[in-house]
Amino acid sequence: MVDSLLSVDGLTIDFLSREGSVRAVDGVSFNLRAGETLGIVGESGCGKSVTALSILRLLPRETSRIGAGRIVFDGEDLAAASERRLRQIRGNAISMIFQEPMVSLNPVMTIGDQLREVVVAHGRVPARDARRRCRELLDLVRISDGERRLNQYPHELSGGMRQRVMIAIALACDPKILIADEPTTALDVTVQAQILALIWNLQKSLGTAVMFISHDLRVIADIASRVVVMYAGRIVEEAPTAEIFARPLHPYTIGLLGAVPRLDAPVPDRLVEIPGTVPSPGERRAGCAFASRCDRRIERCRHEAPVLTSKAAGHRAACWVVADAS
Amino acid sequence: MRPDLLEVSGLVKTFRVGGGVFSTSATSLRAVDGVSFRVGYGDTLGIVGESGCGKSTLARLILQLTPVTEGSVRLEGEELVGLGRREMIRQRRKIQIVFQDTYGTLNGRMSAADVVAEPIRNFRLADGAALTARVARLLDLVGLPKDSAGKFPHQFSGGQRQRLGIARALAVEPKLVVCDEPVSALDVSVQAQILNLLKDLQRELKLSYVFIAHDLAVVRHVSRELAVMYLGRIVEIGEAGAIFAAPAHPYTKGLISSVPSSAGTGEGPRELLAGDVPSPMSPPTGCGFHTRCPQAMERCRSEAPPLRQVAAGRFSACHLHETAVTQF
Repeated sequence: MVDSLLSVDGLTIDFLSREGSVRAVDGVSFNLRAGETLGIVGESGCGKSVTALSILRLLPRETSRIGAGRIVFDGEDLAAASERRLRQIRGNAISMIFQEPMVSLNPVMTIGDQLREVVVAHGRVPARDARRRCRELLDLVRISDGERRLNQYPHELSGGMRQRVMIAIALACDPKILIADEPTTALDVTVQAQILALIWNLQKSLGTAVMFISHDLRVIADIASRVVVMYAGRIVEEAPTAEIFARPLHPYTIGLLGAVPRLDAPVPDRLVEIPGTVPSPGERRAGCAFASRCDRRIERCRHEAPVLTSKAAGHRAACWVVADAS
Repeated sequence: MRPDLLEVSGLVKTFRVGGGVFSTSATSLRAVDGVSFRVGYGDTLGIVGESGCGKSTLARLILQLTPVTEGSVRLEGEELVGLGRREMIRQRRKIQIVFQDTYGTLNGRMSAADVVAEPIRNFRLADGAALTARVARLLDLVGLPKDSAGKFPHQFSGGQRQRLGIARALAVEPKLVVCDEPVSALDVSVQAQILNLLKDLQRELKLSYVFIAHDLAVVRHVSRELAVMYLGRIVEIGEAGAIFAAPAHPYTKGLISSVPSSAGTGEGPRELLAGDVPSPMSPPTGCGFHTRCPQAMERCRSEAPPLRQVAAGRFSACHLHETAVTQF
């Protein structure tokens, strides 16, 4: 058994509305090991962000509910933790960065004030040393001219610079886990490369475990050591990164890899099409959620949901066709 | 010589920024700064560049959706710049546009059939039963299900809405379609459907595309020719396959190398271009790229390099090409 820092086990999340409840995440289990980068990939609506938000219990209580499962961090089940305890963990032991830093940063506070708020609130540094610590954090995320930046407002910074500030805030308390939810999706490709390199280098030097969420397998390829592929609220495949690109098993993963144009291969005449669209949580039926779009479906897929089956070391897939093949 | 389908030359667009209505302190921003290219019949020109490089402004200028400051846009030899409203409307039969935001560009109160029928009616191309048949044919052509005609935009998925946007653009049988980030709002599996559709339609209808996108792999997939823009200018233009195989301009090199490898090598991401695109409000002197260029020389700070031919059909704007043998 590998030592895992965070262990999500059988997590089920329901969204509640006047019309009833729909299942957004359905029996998701995975481990995040100390110091590794785990990639979570899937198209919109697959439940990847919902899973991430639920770890820090950031989903609104009025409209969502953890139906079943455990989120064990350091021997403690976060799914059952009190709000008071969660406040101690958020931003301290586990922190998170999001897609659009402009929304997460306060537009009427300077960068320095926002950094100081975190540094002081968690009581890591006495107030008189706060500014020095803020400068250190800006250096850490390679923002030059830190003294001037501390006095600037978010709108005065570029998108890439704002994401660096978010990373600085997230790392202020030396967290054990950094959850990055599509942190480069809104950025230009050159700036995306800068932020990916920054997260990679920080992960190597600080040993922080990173959970990196993206809709783009190409982004995950460079940064993650293991990949979890999600579809319609469930994990359909999990494998070491190199393995998933070399030997994808699940028809959905194979489709995703063929659907994305790549620069490192000749231009194909046509891209692989996955017909139809991702079903919304309300539309899901019994059986495998991918069956209606799958070109390899068999009768069994229609009425029985496949379970994750181990096919090679660290390589699991949830597909009846794959499970039956030896 | 027969003119090309589209010939753009010396195109400039300046915007007035800052200052109030009565202020004299306003400065001007050159969003598009002397852009020239041609697009042949049945051909595709891809345009790439980071946000703020002027690619979407260029799309609007080609269609005369925003006034041109300077330069010329010729469609089948006919000048579009300075045309009166009526004449320009006549030209729009030949040139159409597909946008990124399908919600914002489709009227939510019009059914799919009405969305597609409107341009046909406007140009009086068909009416009555002929119109209905033509609309049905167009919806079928873009792969929308049979029962789509009576549905409204919000009843479609994102990919289906983009199909509808394409059907509307094709309704008047244009020769050129400008695609401005047509797939960037779509999920990857749906993106592949739309890219395949655009390629199929091109073959079937002999369409020409100006295809604008920030995703280089997407642009490479559809384009025969490629233009790379930086701060309102084309810094490199030529055959797409050749540019991707061996980029000449340092910016093109950096841009291409920034694309994640998708190899899963475990060696980590590569960062090749530091910094951000400078603000077009105060562009750098000389070559606009010198602030980020790993090969910048003294001369680049003061003198803007012109586009030079560096190989057959390939042009690049860099002082490096003047000295020694071009290395790319």
